[in-house]
Amino acid sequence: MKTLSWRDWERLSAYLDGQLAPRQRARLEARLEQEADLRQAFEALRRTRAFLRRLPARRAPHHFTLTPGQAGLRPPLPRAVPGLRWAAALALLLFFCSLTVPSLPPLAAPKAAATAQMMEAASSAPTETAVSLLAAAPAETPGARSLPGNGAPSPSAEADTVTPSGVAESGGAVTQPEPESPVPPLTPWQLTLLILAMLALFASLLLGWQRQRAFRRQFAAGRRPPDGGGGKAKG
Amino acid sequence: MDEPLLIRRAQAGDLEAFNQLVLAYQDMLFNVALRILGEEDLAADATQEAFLSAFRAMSSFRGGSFRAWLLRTVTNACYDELRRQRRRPTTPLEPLNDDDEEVETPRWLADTSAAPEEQLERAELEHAIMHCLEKLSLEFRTVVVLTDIQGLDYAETARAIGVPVGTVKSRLARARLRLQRCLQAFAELLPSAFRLQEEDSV
Repeated sequence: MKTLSWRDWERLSAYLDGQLAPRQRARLEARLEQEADLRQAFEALRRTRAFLRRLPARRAPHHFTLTPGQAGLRPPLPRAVPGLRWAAALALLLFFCSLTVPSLPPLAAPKAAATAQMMEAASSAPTETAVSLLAAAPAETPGARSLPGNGAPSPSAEADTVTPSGVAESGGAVTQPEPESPVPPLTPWQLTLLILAMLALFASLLLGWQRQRAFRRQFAAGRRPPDGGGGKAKG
Repeated sequence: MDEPLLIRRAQAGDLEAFNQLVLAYQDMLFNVALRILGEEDLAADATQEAFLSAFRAMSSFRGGSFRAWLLRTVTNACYDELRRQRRRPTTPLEPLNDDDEEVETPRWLADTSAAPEEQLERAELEHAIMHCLEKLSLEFRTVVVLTDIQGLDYAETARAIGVPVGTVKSRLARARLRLQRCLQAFAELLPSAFRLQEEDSV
């Protein structure tokens, strides 16, 4: 080994691992046949690698599976729920405004339309409207989430299209409110709708809270690692 | 185990899929950490840390050898662990006696199912190898652990430690030369343990 250069040692090491290019390999093999020192060095190197390969493999002392907490995963909120609450609250607010605004003198114009809208809805199917409010509030659909967006402009949008004559047509048997009357009293329909809207808000909040609780429980139970985390390695 | 599928699911944040990969690779990562760090507790910490950072970085895995990618996380975790140790020095790995010589500890006499004599020889051999590995610099040790002990090829080792293949080749040759000298000293002291080895290597 005394004559062995560093370069030769590196070549021998790569040769041992089969990492020499074919030409280099052929050259080294020819030298190995002729040079006893090189052969001796190669044998020593081979023994060293064999020693290292004999190092026993250990088993992991325990499982290293991650729990959701370790992985930084928090039970994500059902995405629609927070938005839904705002949607419901906003819907209620708008609904409330649509009832009260007509009583203010400067906004007399929208009053007729808003009231007309209420009347129209009430006269056609009041319970159905209320039920759909209740059903739509906790749903996780984009439609439900866009409730504020779609719901907000509707009274004013309809105010443009629904004319007093339209109100007259759809109003039917229901008493027609006088556009000029300063403070129209709440009709029984309006009162019913107001109560239903409040019920809808309450129901949506309650349902949202329950969903969130159920989701958290399900998340905690269902996302455990297969072996329960820090259990002992088998065998 | 459908590894590519599990990897894709884990990349999408599926922890159960990732944990299946953990179960498949935990022994390998632990062994690499153990041979680099030399202590079981530290190795277990580094392994856990490696899997955590692997989960967080799953989206950065862009194909190729997942094993090499994981090994990179564990070697990085080992380097971090060693940096922490350096900042907060503790007792040496091998307790020393009054003459500053290492004292044999039962830690090396790992229990195995072999006959007592063979157990002792294996333990001696493991002790000798670990002792010699600890004397290597960190980068040399890592290359030896990955290539000679874990059996990775040069390309995978290069990927696992983020250096060119030529560097792996050169570091490995140097590390083997140092290990050879170190182990020769043990072979003279413990001929029986090393004789077993020589018979195997023929």
